[in-house]
Amino acid sequence: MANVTRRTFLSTTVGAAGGVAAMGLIAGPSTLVEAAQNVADASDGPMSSEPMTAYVRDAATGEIAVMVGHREVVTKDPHNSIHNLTRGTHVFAS
Amino acid sequence: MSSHREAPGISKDPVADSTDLYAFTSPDHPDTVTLIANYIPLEGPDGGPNFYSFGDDVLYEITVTNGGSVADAITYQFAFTTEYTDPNTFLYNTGPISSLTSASWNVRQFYSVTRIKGGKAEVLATKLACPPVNVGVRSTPNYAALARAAVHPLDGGWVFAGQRREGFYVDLGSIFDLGALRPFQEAHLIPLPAVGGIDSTKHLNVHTIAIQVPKTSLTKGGELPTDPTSADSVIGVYTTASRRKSTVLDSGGRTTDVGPWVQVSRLGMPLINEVVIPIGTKDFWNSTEPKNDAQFVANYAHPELAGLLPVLYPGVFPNLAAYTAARVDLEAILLTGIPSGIIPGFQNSTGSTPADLLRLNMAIPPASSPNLNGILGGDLAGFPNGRRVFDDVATIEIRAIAGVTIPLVDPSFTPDGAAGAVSDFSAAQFSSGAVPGNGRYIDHFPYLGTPLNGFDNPS
Repeated sequence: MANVTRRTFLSTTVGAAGGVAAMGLIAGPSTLVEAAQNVADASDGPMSSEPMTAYVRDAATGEIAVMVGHREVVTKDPHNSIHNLTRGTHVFAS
Repeated sequence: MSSHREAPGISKDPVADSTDLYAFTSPDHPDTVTLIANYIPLEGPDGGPNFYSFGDDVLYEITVTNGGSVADAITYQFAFTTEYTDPNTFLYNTGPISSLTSASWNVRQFYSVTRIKGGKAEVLATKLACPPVNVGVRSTPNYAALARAAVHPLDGGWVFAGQRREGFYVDLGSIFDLGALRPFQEAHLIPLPAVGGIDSTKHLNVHTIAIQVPKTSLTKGGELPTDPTSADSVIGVYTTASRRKSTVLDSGGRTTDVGPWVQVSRLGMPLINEVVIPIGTKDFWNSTEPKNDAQFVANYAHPELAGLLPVLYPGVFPNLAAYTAARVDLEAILLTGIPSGIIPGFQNSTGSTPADLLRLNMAIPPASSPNLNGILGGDLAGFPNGRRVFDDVATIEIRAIAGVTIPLVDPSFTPDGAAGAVSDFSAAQFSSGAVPGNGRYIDHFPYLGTPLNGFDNPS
């Protein structure tokens, strides 16, 4: 593992999720599916073999953190998926 | 105290809650340093059937800075796994545990050690066995032998991870009842007759991660430190615990952890997040790095406890009450280390960057007659030059906050008479040996005593 520090080990064991998050990932994956694919591509195993978490950290901005293994990619959803998701949440709540 | 349940978030997560950190020149092997990070606060010896253990889902770390710097130089990582010999019994053990390979021991824990140094991560050991907990006279009749078998060689030194006796002593019930110190409570705002302190942790255990490392492995250039005035003799130490960013409580009792590690606990100097950092900031503090502690300097410059003492003990601390300047003495002792020229023959400075680190000048030899009050007691080998398992850090820090260390940086200040006397235990309790008490420590690695067994404790 090249150029490892304690903090980089913690936050970006593989990939550059922390840095990507800090930059807002405007130039990163443009859809949730792409983000998930990017995370999976960077992982050691096939996409289907590991659990994946998608965390909507700010529904207002459409920012989604996709995590698989020790990796995290933060993306924005331009296709209104989060809006639909929150509408779904509203339906559940009512 | 000293960092037991010190923040709202971590108080609900005991296995990741760092309680105490120690760093000292090993008295029996003075060419080595012993680093001890304790976790799981207020651990009852009788806590079965699922006795205490490290978290398999927690990454534990001990990080060392060197060369008089606050930059991370070496990190030791500890990752644990639990195995069941027989998952079809509810029992921790099905008979006496006579060895670490005993078939009657059902719940076993193992760990790996990884070192990050010079930009490289190296696995130093895998599948190291922890000892069992000290269940009782029938299950673990020769516990000391089990613990000895769990001391493993590691990279020129030794490593141990498992249950030990709590070494930190304090009167929790009194101090958190409006800052009362029982031996001095007749002078409290709400007075009661003075009595000796109650040792709240005397009958408790803790989980210990301990490594004994050659000093030459910790210095920047690999040399053996012999000059106390050299920056290369000084290391800074802190411990952290981290959890995965996402945890899903799934159906069927399954838990899924995903994502990068996120730091949830840290500890350098004792009592900092406990009494210096305000409650609304404690969880944030636990997530941050020592090198970024400049953001917390105001809490050290005007500590809340220094303002409370004159209020809680009316008329006892008039000089402290009148002192309005920033507490540069505390900033030096707690955040940057003590520079040369303050205490003859001593320094443990890591430069001007504020950082909560337990700083050890490795060139100071072990004391032949240690003083529980460390440097305040004239013992340069004790706290705050690192911290030994028996150092009375609660008394030392209360006295420092009460003003006894102000003259180190401001000779015009005269400490109040009480500042050099306050403690949560009486002088008689110390002189009789009742505090810290027998059995709490041993004279060799890992230095914390044999854990109390669950059959006889609490008694």
